[in-house]
Amino acid sequence: MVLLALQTAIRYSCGSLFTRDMEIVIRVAIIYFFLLIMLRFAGKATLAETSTFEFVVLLIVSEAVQEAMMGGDSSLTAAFLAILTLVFLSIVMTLVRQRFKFIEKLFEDTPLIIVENGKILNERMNKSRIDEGDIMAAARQHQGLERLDQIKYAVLEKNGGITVIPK
Amino acid sequence: MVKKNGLHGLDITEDLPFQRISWILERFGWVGMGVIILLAALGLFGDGPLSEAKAVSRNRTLQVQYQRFTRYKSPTTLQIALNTQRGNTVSVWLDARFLENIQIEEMDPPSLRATSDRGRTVYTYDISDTANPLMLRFEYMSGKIGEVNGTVGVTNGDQVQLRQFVYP
Repeated sequence: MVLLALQTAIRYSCGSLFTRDMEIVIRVAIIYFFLLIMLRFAGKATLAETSTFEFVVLLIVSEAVQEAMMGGDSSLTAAFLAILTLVFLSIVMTLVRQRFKFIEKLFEDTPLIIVENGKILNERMNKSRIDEGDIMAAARQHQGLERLDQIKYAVLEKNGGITVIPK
Repeated sequence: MVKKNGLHGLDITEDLPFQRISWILERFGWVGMGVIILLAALGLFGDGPLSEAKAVSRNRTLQVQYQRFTRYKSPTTLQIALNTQRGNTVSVWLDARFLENIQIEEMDPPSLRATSDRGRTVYTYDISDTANPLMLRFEYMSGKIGEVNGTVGVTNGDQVQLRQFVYP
């Protein structure tokens, strides 16, 4: 029943020629999933904003989506609906992620060991587009370590942060 | 009030019964949110199947398609389909009370002229080389919250009533 209703709504929206006539929760949902997919392609390191390049992107992405999402609509109702939809979607995604493990891997990636016993695993580091500087910065920040050989394990976590386990 | 949790010995204001109630309320909240979102997607707040309205005049020459629900200062569309007869021009009017409450953003096609007449604004269109029926589109935003009523008519007497509800 719910699916039928949703289908009707989406079919109606797709029939609208102009973006602003597409219903707001549907627009917001589309943008949410698009951003999820885009950031997934950008990789873990982007989420952690480790460099200025990534920081700038995350800073102005919100500006880019604003007009498309709100469609020139300055009403309270539109703002509430947009917020409601985003929060609801994020709750739904956390529930789905809990239930289906493969969704978690698909959308959130997996942790990756990048340093083992003081030795950097080069292929992993390069493919993840981070460098020794990032690893050492994390080592100094979290553990106050001085040198690479003091690291037992360094892990690039799902959220892009690097965690360090000292020897 | 600081409760020392006997099980863990932690100095923490944990309150498990309250937490369980919170969890239950949270889940009710999720269902509520889902329902509102579904209704919104269907058009309860504008732009959807629930919100599509069509006003047709008694002799079916004038048909107006509009949104039953819209939002304050939100763009919405009014489409008029008019079966025209002879002549080079036709005049369509909107009542002043309606126009007071809205702000027209775009009119397509543009009218030849717009005049004011006895509480109405009359828009005259050139139909000498247009196909029948004449299709008019008005893009507008409502500047009033709540019920907005309007009348659209043709100068030969046909008219239809529009009833719109504007959310804040």
